[in-house]
Amino acid sequence: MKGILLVTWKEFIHIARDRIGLFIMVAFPAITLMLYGYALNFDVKNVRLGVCDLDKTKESRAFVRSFLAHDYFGLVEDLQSAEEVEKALSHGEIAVGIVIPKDFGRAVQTGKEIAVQALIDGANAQSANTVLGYIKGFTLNFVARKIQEKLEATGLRIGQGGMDLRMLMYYNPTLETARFLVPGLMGIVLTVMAVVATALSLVREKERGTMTMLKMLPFRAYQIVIGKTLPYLLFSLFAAGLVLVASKVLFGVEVKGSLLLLFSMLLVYLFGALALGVFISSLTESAQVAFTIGVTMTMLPSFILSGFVFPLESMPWAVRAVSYIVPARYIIAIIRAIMLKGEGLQTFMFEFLWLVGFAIAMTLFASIRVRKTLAG
Amino acid sequence: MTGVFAIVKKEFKQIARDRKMIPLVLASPVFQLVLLGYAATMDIKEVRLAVCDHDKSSMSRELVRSVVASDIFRAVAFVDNEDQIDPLIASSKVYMGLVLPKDFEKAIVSMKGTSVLVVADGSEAAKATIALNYMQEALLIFASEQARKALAMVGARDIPLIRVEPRVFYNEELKSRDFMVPAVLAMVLMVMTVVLSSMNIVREKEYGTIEQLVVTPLKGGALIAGKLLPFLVIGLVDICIVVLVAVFWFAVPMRGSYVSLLLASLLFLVSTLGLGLFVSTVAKTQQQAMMIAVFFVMVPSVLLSGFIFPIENMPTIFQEASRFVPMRHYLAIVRDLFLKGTGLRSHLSEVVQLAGLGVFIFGLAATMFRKRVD
Repeated sequence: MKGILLVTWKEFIHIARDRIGLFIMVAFPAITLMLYGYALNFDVKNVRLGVCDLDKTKESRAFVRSFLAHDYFGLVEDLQSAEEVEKALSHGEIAVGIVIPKDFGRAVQTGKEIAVQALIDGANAQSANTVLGYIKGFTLNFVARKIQEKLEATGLRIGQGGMDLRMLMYYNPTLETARFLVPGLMGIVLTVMAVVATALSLVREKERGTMTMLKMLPFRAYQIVIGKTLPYLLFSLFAAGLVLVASKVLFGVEVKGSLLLLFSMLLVYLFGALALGVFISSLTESAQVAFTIGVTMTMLPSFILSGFVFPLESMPWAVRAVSYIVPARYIIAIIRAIMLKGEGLQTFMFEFLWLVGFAIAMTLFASIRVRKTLAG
Repeated sequence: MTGVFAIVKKEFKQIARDRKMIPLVLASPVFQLVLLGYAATMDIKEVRLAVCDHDKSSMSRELVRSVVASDIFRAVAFVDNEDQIDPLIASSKVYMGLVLPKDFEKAIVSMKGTSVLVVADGSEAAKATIALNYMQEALLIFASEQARKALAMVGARDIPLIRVEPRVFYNEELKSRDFMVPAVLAMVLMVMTVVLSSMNIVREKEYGTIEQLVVTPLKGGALIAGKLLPFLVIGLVDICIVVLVAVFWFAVPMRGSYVSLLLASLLFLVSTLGLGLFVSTVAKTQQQAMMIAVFFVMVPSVLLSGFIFPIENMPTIFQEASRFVPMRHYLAIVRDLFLKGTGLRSHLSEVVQLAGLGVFIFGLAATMFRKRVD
């Protein structure tokens, strides 16, 4: 125990002396949270719409108006021909263009089938899909209204017709992006800080030649591993607390479940992540290599393969299989369950056990490697 | 000039001596490509649905059938009571619940109007939005189909029908991959040039060897050139790797010219190397350099450049701020180069802004670096 504390104390002094490093560790979670909370969201709104109305009748104008009734579309251009729509599309002036054919009004009046063209920039497939969905939806709505007008005109008194959709969102009633991002963000920030910061901890000693000093001291490998991780553990927990306070103050996102449970889960996770950092550090001789491994192995996978942004179900099975070994996946699921759903341990037992296994395995691996380094 | 090459040679020797560095420089871009090419997709393939049908009529069953027919929704649970849906959602067994009221059929047939309830797990807002759009569309189609039938029954003939014919340009099959893979270029260049170059320079400070460099007869400018050239080379090698894998493995269309791609990349490299140099003047240790580069350059760049999150959706102030992010302009050029084949001429404003940022950043960094050295 004394050995661990000694190593911890030494590392603490090291960190405390590093003013810039300290500042970075506090500023990073804060800045990232601001960015995520305020700047980023997935809603596709104010899509730049170009309209080429070849019909120019009351019906076609009503059709266009129905698109502009909400803030999903913003009319930017009134175009004269389909070619102009294509040109505006290729110049990026519009994101989507609709071409209303010449006999649109008559077809709507007399009840013929007619096709409206939607020309769309598909480069960003996800946005394009959403926008096409909007267009189809608005068109269906327009038709439904026309049918209703017809019904009323026939004088048949058969009520209002139609079918409403009532929606109820659990856990995030207004589908705020912040509410959904904060748990994921916490997982990412902690992973990055923990792994990347510790990844350099041993390499630094090697590069500066202080490793030999460490070797001569009567420390055991596990004491060094745990001792080196402890200060970062405290910093990371502090950062987690900071993210929680900030997300409450700034975005009104509160922890629904037990705070104690949340922090104990974070503790287990951080232990594994920090040991992984020490493990990476023990593998390499230079800080640059340690960093590149650390970023490639943790930052990107925990961003992309954790279900933070991209739904895991959509990935090909091979990639999904890989995602099962990404620790961030489990902690993000747990944070979401506790923060947003207020669930208890029994619903994420599997995730929890996985994290415990991860922490034990990583401490073991790191200790074995460090013992080798100390002996060598 | 010979001085510059002497330093370049020294740097390459140092990089080569570190056995693990070279495979990493080659493997890291491939790894990022595989991740972003295969995993970075928002396409939703399956939404698990719980159905609570209070009506149990042929009409309500038809609705469920038509919803499931869209391939997106899969009904995995049928429950008798809406309360039974809650635990299913809480444990993530289903993602959405559809509740049909008791007199559903009667209301539809008599055109009295009715409402169905959709409950969804909002904790993944991005997915929820997309899934809801699909559900809304499926229900609308069903509703207008029924209205049409009812009208036909009372003998109305002039029922309009408007079809939407989508024509998708540039990415005809709407693959997320074609959008994400070209963007890896920017990501790889950031990692390789900003972070590694800054760490490399700071290492000399840490080792105390920077004094040796300073007392050599080399001027500040030559020192900078010698230090950064190897990373320019690494960056160019990585560009080749990314382009090769993107085009031949992921079959991403490359419709523009390779010369334009190279020019745009070189322009971007001026900014990134400048950022690397800048970070190196601020940081005292490699750890600091890495943290500053990752946390304050890379992460904000990725988030504000439109890499994943569309810029148009950001508040105005962030949209304006993103103009100062070189990666934004580079991404706009590169993505269009791949998918649309538009050259640098149609991206003149991006090219100018990218060049301006490059000159400014590099100039500032070089001045600061020289002050330190001299």
